[in-house]
Amino acid sequence: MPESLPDNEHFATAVLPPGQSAHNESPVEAFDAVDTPPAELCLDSLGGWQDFELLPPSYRARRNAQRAIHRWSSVILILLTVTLGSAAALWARGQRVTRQNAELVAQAEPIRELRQATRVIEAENLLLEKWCLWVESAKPDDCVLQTLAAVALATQNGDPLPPQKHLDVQSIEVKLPLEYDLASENPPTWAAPKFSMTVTANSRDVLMPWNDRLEKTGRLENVKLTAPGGVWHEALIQVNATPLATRTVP
Amino acid sequence: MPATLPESPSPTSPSRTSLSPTATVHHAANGTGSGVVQPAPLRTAAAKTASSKPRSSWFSSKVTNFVGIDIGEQFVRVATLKAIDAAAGCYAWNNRQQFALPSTNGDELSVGWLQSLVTEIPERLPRCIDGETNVAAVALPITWTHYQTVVGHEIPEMRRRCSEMFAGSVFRSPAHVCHWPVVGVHHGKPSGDDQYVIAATAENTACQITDAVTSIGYTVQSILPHGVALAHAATELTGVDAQCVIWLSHSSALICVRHQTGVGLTRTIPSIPKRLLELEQSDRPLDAHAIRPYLTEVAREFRATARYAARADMNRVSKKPILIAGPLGEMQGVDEIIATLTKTPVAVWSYFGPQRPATLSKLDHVDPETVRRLDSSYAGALSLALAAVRGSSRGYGH
Repeated sequence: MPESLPDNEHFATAVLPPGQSAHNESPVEAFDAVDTPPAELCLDSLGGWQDFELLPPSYRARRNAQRAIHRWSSVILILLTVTLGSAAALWARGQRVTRQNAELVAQAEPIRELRQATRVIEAENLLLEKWCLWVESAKPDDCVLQTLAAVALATQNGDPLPPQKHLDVQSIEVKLPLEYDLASENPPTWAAPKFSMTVTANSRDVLMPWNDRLEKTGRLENVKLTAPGGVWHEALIQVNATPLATRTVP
Repeated sequence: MPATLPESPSPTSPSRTSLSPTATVHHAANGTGSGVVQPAPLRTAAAKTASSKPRSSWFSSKVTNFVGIDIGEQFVRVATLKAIDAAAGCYAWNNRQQFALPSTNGDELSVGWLQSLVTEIPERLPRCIDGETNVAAVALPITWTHYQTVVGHEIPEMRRRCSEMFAGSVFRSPAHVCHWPVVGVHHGKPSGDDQYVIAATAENTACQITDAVTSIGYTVQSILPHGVALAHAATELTGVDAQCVIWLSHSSALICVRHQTGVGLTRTIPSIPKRLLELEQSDRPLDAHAIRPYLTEVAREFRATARYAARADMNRVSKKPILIAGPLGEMQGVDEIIATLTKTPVAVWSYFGPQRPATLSKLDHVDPETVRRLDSSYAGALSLALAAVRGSSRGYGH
């Protein structure tokens, strides 16, 4: 008997299952009793106490890992291909767009030059306008003089008149429109332009043409001749009008 | 009781004719005794695994072959089982093949020879057909496997010692150890105090051979010890409910005991002595009577094993037949001699199933019973093929 077999005494006390002791009498029945029916194979690992596999689990694990690596690497390869392909396509499209844009830019060159010229001209214009403004602002305000000149021209019309027909200007007042706070709705009275003249007339018949001429000067508006006290034959004539001015006096 | 049975061919009762010691149970069709079961098992057991069949891909035809590759010391034998009706779990023996391995120089294993084996095997194995899945189970030669019986607590210790042993051998590799309890589960769950059979083999060599077989397209699901494959598949493939399977080949011998829930005690027994093999000449092949001294030794080993197994199983020595497998089983008269010596019915391992490969033309005029004896060489390969059917991608029994 090989050394791997334990000695007989080891199992000498083994007890037969109680169900089989009843059949021990006759050999025929004992024959049937020991020949137990075939049962299902038990391939279970029995909690680690049974393992028929001679292929090392490490080998199997390595094989599975290799398979997984192959599978994943092929997946990654496909993804990489897709990514690279799309990147290349995008790059090509970008190149095409750039080329088209360059073409457009080339075609739009005259427009750009035109626009640049326009901009230069605009800038020049702006400069000139500024200069104009400077010149204008540097010009002294001669509205009073103009008004006075216009009145003088209207008064002294043509030939010298005979003394009976003289108009003697007693006083003349020109008040140009003043700058006022724009926030207030109506211009304050002190800011309103005003023209008043007191004239002594020696003859009544020069008054009406004079009035017409005053209105035609263009420097006065709303010319109104009034005689204080309403007596026309008296020589004192009051003229009220609104002088025109190019701008308000600050 | 063995002693009550007669040694003469004359049966004591008509009902037990086929079980008398010298009459052999050839195959199930002849068997009427309690040791012979009807064809059902091959269907039922396989039906359970039909659902775990590997999924075939969309582009391949759904053909799966289950291949058993039995690598022996001198020959590699390959058997293929193919599903006739996978849903019903019906499998047919489809193909068989055998080829010789390069001979060892002076019977000593050498590293170079192992390497030549690794290159030779994939060159000579049958090619796979494109689109078919070939699920394979492999067995390494029995002489490369170390069987021993140990107590459960000592398994880690044995693992270490086996590693040392295989590292010191020609394999130069750590060992991979598998184990199973001597006593079946029907006597309760095993624990650390129970006896276990361990089978150890060289890890690196197993990996190399698996790589070699995988490289030509086989899907190697498991490597099994011969004992497990033979004991688990015996009933389904032969229709004989044997108490044990004895594998007898020219360079190794193995006995594995079957119990209700699978395989029990498994031991290697001394192989046939060289001086007996030297008697073989081309004109006068070895016959059973020439090796009778060796068969006596086998019978003695069987009796010791059976006694031990019966004690372990808390039962008396079984009266079920012995199955003789392996190339020596082909020899006319071996079964009779063993039956006489052991006073136990003996059956030669022969395939019992719906379909078998075509008989070689040179055997056309030979007695069909003799032809059936030739199956016994393929017992290992066919059992492995059935193990491949049962196994899953996580291995046999997982």
